Amino acid sequence: MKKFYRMFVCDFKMTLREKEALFWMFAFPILMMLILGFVFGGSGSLVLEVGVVDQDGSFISKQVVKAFESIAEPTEEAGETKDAPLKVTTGDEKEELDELEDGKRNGVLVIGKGFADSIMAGREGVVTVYVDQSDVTTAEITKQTLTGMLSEISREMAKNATGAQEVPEMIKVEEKQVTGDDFDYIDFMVPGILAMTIMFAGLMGYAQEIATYREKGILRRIKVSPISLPTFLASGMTTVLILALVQSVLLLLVGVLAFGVNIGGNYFYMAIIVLIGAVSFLALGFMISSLAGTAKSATLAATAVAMPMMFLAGIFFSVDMIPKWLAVIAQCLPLYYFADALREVMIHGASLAAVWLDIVVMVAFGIVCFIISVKFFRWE
Amino acid sequence: MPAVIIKDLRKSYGDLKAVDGVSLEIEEKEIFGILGPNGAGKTTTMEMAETLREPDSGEIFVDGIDVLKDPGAVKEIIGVQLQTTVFFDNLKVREAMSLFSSFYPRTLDLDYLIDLVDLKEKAETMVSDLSGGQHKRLSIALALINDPRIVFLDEPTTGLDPQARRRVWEIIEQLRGKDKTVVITTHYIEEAEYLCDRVAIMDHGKIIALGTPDELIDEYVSKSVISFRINPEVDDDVVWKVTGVESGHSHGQEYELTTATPQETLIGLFAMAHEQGVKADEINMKRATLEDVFLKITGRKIKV
Repeated sequence: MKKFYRMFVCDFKMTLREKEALFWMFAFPILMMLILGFVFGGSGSLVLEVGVVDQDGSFISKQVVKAFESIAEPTEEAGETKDAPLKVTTGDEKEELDELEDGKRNGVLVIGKGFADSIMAGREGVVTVYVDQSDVTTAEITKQTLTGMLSEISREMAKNATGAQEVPEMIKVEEKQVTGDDFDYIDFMVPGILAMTIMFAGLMGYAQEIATYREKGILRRIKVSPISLPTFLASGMTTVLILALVQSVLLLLVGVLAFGVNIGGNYFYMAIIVLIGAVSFLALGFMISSLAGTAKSATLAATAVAMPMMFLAGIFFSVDMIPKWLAVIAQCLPLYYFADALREVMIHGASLAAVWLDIVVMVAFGIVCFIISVKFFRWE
Repeated sequence: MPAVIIKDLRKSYGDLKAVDGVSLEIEEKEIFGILGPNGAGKTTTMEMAETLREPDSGEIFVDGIDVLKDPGAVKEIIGVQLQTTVFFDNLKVREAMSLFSSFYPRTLDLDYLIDLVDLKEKAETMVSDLSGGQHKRLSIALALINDPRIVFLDEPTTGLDPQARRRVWEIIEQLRGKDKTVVITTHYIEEAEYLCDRVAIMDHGKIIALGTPDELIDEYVSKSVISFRINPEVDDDVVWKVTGVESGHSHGQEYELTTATPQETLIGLFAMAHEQGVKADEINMKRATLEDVFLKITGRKIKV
């Protein structure tokens, strides 16, 4: 235990002294996340996409729809056409609510039957606003904006109808929530980048480390010392695992602070998934170091494994977006399961049981790699 | 009881018999050298005794412990300096020593060791910033960290300049007074002669001679080596016919020969030069060395 602890402390120190490795472990994924987030995230200029459903079909309700459509029209300002911060589509209730759940609308506004009748009878007409509660910030903005616009519209209409300056509220807004099952790109990308980062640390970092130790004769020196190989290897792996947790915290912080990622999951579950993923990629790294001849070929082999995995396994874009046959290949990659488990647990708040398949695949993959590593392990 | 007993040790790599039936007994508290050219099997022999390699056949006992049966126990009582160890570059000297000391139940005081290998000023330096000589000294310190009974040093001065080599020799000399058995491999004649109580000369996986340096020189070669230069050239055979010449080799006009009767040989040399009408100069006479022993037995020089 003492040997393990001291070896681990030294290993940790040595890793922290590797400036270049630290860049790849921390700065690189953060940069990557920021770039992807700003390029594809699109949360910089918020355009509300609102579905308007007119179930009343009356003169008044049509006026309301028309009012919304006119707000959504591009405006001419100093000779330049500017898009309005609102996009309006009309359709029936079911269609629009489906779109909302798919994340294609920010909100849906339903003008219920009897809307005009209520107003004519001197009561408030009821309009229901649906928002997607899975994105709290956007839901709040949507609700506020729509409520504001409705009261503005109702005032205009009342003024035109009666000519009076002071008019009572004619429209009452009722809020309803749906839970969407699709999320922002950011919510998709952040767990992906985290999975990628941990894969790199385990796979590339460890393969290179062990192969370098072998090449330099450090493994031989360890062999003639009374410290067992498992103890020695475990201390290096522990370093990677601890750093994986630190990387996770850091990346999530950046994700939350810069892009407002919705972390809906249990932190303990997340840590478990991170560790399982890190261990299975350590095993893969160990396997590559056992099979490769030199440190250089280990690095090359690890890169050759990591790169296609990074692009195929649904890190930057969903596997649904690539051709079917490629998607089949993607689903053979361990990173796919790791990213999927992270995403489910982190964003969608899934339990560990819900991602059992991912866990089983990762654990099985790790065990197979480990067995091969041990079989082909060489001291020199 | 001898510190190390090796019985009929064999190790092959494919067709190459790296170690081909080596038997040895290394006494307690002696500095024992294994001398030979590169590829003679010195390192392989030593690494089998260190538990680093498995022999194909044969037996090894270190301090009475069977190396093949209980390598773990052997590791705790030996100290090892490997030929090409590069340590964890990103550790400081003291950190590296402290790390290795944690592997052993009993260790020497680190400050004492740092002093012993003369690295006091470098204790807080990164291992990667050490010079070749400092690096070798650190690796010797690491070999001594568990206060081992038996220390194996594999080519402790290879690649060092003469001054750095001297410093390493001084450290090894100090071990003599500390009741340690030291086994070194080397291909430096002077190193073996300067440091070792006894020397085994190895070639092609076999021990071809064993004894104290003096014994070996007495046994295999005459005591004196005379080197000189003949100007202008003469036929080599004329030189070999000089009185008392036992063996020799030439390089152009330069000659080196051994003789048991140096005085007669020198007179004969001058007489020959006079007869041939040539000049013999740059004459140098020295005691025979283990190089001459090796040359005598194998017909080759140790260093290529």
